[in-house]
Amino acid sequence: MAKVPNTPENLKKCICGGCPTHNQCMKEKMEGFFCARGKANCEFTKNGCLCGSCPLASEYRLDKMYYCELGAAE
Amino acid sequence: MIKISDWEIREGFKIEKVVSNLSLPVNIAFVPNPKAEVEAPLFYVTELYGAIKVVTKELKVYTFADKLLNYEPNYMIPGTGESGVTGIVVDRNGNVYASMLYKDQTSFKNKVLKFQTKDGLKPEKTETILDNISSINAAHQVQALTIHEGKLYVNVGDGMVNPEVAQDDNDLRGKILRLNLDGSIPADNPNPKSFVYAKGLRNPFGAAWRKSNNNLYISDNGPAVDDRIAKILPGENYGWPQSMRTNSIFIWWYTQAPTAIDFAEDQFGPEHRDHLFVALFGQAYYEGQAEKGKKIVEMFIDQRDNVSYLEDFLKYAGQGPASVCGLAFGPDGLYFSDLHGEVGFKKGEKSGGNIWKITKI
Repeated sequence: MAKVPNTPENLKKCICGGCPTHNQCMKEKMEGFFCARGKANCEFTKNGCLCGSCPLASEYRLDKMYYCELGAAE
Repeated sequence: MIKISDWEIREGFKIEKVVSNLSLPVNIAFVPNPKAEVEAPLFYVTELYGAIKVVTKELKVYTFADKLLNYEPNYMIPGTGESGVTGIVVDRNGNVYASMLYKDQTSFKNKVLKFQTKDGLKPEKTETILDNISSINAAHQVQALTIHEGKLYVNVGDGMVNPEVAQDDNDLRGKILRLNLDGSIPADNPNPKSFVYAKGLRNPFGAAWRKSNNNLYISDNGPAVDDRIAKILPGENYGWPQSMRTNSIFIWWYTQAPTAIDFAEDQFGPEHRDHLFVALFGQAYYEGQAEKGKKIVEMFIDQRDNVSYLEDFLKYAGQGPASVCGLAFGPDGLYFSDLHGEVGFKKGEKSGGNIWKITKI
């Protein structure tokens, strides 16, 4: 089970949209909330990661970065 | 703790708003030897999206410099809007130094400008004394500036994308740099051909010199864990990206986003003298009270570099996005900026940032 529940309340807290790695493809396909929904389908270049700054990281004690690559937090 | 306005503060202290209506105020730099006149500058404030404000002793606010960014910020906070004009310091002659991001064709880079001024209210001459340091339009850019014994110290973030540069002696990212005030390399640097004074840092937002031992201390932000305080020694390696714990004095495993830091002198009396005050910003835009950050903590670091005292000093108790960002001791108390202020901002709108002053009752 993913550590971060995929709920509308948690989605509101997600900050993926401001991340330097969150690219045009992700925006167009509305990909994000990777720590709950799993890794990105879009191809991307790692341009920095905001996961450590996210309210969800605090709330669920996430200690990793780049969930867009790792997939949902376990 | 007692509640005053939207802040809870240690009993025996009071807080008052001294400047309002700023736009994303970041760091505060006091004039080391202010003139006697009430019209004279007391301190300067960087505004993230491209300006420097000067505040006089009678608390009048003037624009010292503006339009300092050559790109349009995108207001994405947290994220790619967390960049702009950040570090600031004033030398004994009243010259102002500020660090900022600029766009060079398609890439972002860091630079430091020196503003020479006669009256302190407007620059007479502006020159770039450090530039061409690769960066990113997010955090991890060039941060705090400090001056000590006639040298300028520049905290430079690792640029976020390739953290291994923090270990590369030929790259200025992830370092503390040491410069002469004209931008040249001091002959007594650890490597006399390099600006690099110390390496292995990630996002060292804050810096302050401690008078009791003549050492520089910094705050450094970890990735998802391990924020830290470190004492900076010449030629030392602080471990990033292998570890945030190397040569660190204090670690917050659960990250709090330490921003500015400063040591008390006599502003709060002898029981607080030489104590370190640390701004913990928390999340980059978070409304209401928070478990993470949004506070100032007071710590005492003994001469063996052990933290023997750590207590909350101030906490945000309101419902807005305000948090503690910049922080500096002035002649009569501890001043801090709240970045977003109570109201925050939407794209194209001015934020309502403030400067607050804490004094002992």
